[in-house]
Amino acid sequence: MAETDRVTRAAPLPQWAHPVTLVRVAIILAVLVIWEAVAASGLLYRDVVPRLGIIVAAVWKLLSTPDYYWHLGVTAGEIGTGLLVGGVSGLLVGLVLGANRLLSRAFEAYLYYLGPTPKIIFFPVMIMWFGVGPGSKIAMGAISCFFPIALSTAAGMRQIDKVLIRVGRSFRLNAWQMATKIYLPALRHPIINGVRLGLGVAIIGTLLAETKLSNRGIGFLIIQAYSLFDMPRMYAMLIVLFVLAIGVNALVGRLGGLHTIRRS
Amino acid sequence: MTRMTRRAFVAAAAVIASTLPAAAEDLLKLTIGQRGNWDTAIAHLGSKAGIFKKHGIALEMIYTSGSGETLQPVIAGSVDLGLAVGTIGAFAAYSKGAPVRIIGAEATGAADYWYAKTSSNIKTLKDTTDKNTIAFSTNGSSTHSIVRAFVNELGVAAKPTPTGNPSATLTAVMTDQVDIGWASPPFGLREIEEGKIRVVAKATDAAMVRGQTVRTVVANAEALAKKKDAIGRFMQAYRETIAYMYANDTPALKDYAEFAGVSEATARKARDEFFPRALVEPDAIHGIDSLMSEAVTLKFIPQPLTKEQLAELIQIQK
Repeated sequence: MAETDRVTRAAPLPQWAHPVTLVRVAIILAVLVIWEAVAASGLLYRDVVPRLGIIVAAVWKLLSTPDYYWHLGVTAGEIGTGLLVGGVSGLLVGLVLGANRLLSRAFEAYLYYLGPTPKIIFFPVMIMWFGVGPGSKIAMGAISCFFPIALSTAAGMRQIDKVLIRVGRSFRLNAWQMATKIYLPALRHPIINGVRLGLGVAIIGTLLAETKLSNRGIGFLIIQAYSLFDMPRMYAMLIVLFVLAIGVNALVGRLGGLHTIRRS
Repeated sequence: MTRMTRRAFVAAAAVIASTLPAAAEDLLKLTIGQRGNWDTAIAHLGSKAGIFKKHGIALEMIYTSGSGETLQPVIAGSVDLGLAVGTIGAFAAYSKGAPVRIIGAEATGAADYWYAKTSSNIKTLKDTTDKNTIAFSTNGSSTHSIVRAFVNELGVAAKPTPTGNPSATLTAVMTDQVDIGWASPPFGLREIEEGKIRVVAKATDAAMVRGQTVRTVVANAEALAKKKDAIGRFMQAYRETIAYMYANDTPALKDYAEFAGVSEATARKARDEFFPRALVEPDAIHGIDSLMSEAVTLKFIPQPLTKEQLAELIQIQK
């Protein structure tokens, strides 16, 4: 009788040694090396492409400035409020459209058309309605994130397993119970995906509004640095913003349990 | 009343008392374009020196990325005043029925200058040919008018090209996409000192520009009617700030240097070499006829405004 070896599963790699992590790190390193090479070569105007050391020094200086955190707080507040307003309204609209075929066919096309429209065109209207203060920036954040969240929720609604719905009905759940026990748990992943997409565009919308008309916030600081041609400071702010956005996005994904999804 | 409660009352009274002067001041909201320029720093410097407060005015200043963004909130009534609004833009808005009034000049003549890379063969505008390009910010802007004046008055052959704000323009010049760039001081003065660029022309080289009010202070019509007294006091404080900014050994230079992120020497150079006091005096709008014809040529207004329209639009607050 032939002997067979026992098949054993290899011990899982630590997170840092995972191929995906290594590829990501390699991409970042490659970008940094190319940047430094271009900056050192003088092929591009050096004040526009400064050396990495100068940018790192600018990041350090930025993070050592207490005033920066105040502006960061202003922008974070505007984005957070915008995301809350746009997210809740997007969720409600998405639930309604996903649950009602007639409304979906009547309105969803408009959402698809308006979704990719640059939201900055609404800024003059937002100024008129909400003034020149944080209100118009929050409105820009809200209107930006409304569309991806509404569309993602509506699409998610249509993909809910019919069996779950039939089970709910067979238990004679009322509308509230259906929403809280069946729909929302089943929609968790589409909603979180929508929120992640919405977060990105809410950041863009809010910052864009701050660059246009503001006296506070990160967008204001970025356009200030740009207009003074202080490129290292501008890059420093973009890098910090990029890192923060990645962190928040990852946090939203983790809180929403996206890491538990199995990819086939 | 316990000692604790008494102390709480005293503290609360002190807090209320500390807010009283602020409450007694009239709050005016402003949008201001081109943050960092000497002429657009008047409200900031006057506030810092306490001049507006002395006139019973508190200011909320919101900076914008250009004349259009400065004017929009004024038209919408979200702010009371807009500073550094292009005169032609104000004409256009008024002719379309926007509730906007010009209450003072913001810049008569212009401090803008045109430059080329030091390595370039272009030393003056006469050195340009039809193969060269000369920058202005956007169509219909004051820099566009100045470049048109260079072409018409000085026979400049270079092709006018829109390049956006001074930062974008500097990048375009240094990467050889445009031959002659434009900037407004103090922007670019450091690059001049470092020998990277050299000035080839100043806006005032064009006769038309020297006598023309290119940017204005505008008010929302309703705000002007309701807050006439406060806006009048604002303009008094504005004039007083100008006197303060041009006084010998004024602390305004140090404050401005800090505000604009430049050295004090650069701030002084910007003021003394590019911004004569007459440039920022607000009491008259000059060159209305040439501005009007420019506005019609650039299709900002269909026909020149009538005398009556001008009387309603331009209400200088003395």
